[in-house]
Amino acid sequence: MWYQEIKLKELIEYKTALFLWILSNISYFVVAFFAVVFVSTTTNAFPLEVGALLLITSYLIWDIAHLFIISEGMFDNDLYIYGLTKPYKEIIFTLESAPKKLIIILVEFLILLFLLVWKEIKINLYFVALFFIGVAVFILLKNLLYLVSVSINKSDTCPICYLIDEVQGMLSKYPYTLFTSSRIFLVLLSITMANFYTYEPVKALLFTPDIKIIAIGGIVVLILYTTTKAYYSRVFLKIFETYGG
Amino acid sequence: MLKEVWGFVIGFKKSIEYKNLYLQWTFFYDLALIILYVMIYSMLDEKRSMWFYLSYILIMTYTSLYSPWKFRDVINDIKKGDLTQYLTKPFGYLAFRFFYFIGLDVRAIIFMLITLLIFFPNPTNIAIFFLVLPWMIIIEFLLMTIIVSFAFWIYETKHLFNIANNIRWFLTGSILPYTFFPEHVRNILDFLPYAYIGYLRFDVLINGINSLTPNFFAGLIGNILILSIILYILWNKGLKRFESQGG
Repeated sequence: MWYQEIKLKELIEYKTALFLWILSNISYFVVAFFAVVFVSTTTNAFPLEVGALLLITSYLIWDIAHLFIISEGMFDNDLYIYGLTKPYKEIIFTLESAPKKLIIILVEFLILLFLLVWKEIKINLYFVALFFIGVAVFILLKNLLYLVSVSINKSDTCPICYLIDEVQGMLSKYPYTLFTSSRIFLVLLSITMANFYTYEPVKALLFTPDIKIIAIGGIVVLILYTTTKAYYSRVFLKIFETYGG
Repeated sequence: MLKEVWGFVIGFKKSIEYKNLYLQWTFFYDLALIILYVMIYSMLDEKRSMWFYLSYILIMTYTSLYSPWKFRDVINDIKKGDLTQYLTKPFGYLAFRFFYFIGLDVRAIIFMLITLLIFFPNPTNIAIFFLVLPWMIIIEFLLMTIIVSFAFWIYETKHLFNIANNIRWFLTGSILPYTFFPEHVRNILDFLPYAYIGYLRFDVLINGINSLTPNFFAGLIGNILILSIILYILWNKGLKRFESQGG
């Protein structure tokens, strides 16, 4: 009887924690969504659905990217667990929160699909390709910069990463640094991007198929991937092992 | 090189690293906000002066220097059972924490005063601001303590704290000035505690005595009263639960 009661309490605690985790993730979006609504209605600068579409896309980019980005702190002890015994790609792909994050990504993806169907926006394959090239370049560039910065600093503090996080936050969503919750306010930058979305040159660049851009993007991704991998195995790991992690 | 010199170099590097990071955080925070407001500014039909947004960023940053994260200490005291150390003493825990936090914030408040004097050299407005600031700090303390007192019932408080902070940063106007909020939302927000720990600070500094309307005082007193009652009930219920579980 006692055992069952304790088990039940544990289950309730776990469920509450999970519920709060989901709510916490959603709260960033809810806050950002209201900001979109407010900016859209008070400034009349862009239609609400465009803002909402860009917002959910930026969330999706961020959350997908976050599955693959090397997280800070991994260079303290976690690298021993993940890094030294596993190949490079697994370091990037192994994150504890990945399964839970996938739920959020799925929800965001469904919202995006709903918005696309509701607003009868045709999915442009060229735009999708550009989207994924952009995400890949971003992830690889950040990882490379992070590795270089850590190698130079000889510690896991990465001043340049704060800058990257900021720029990233401005371009897509929030940074994880700063006063923690500042990540919400940078969501608003994706809202203001809605303003640029309505500019014809930007529209033309994003939606007019150009095979040259795709080819250049592919080559950039390949170069970045090879460089990062080479830097990791030939430079970074040696420094890491010399310093004993 | 002598060991002592190495020691000095390591210590100096450590100190620079810490300060460097702090500066970067503050600088990039402001930079990000400036870019944000410039972008929003470019969208506006009725243009306010750019100075309005720049002063908004400065004031909101420097009047919020004291971080809400210090309230994690209260959560830790509840969860780790350290609260028992205070329960047997004549000095109440909440009073202790309040003054402890004030002690932590003194440096930030002095820095805030210096910054305000440099950027907004209006002694009357600054004096009025510092007269109402203690009451605003009380509201902030009450509100945050109410949120963290849920640690008596919930084991995993990290996410709850995140949710509360997200709401806080938005409703205080730290992300988006209240000028972007629709009129009916603003009318409600003006009476909520969030206005007093955020936007109204800016209002008092810019508009001085004109911002101290009867509504302002009604909200101030009303918020302190209501939050005190809620905190009193929650905290005592929480303490009973804490004691029944043996701390």
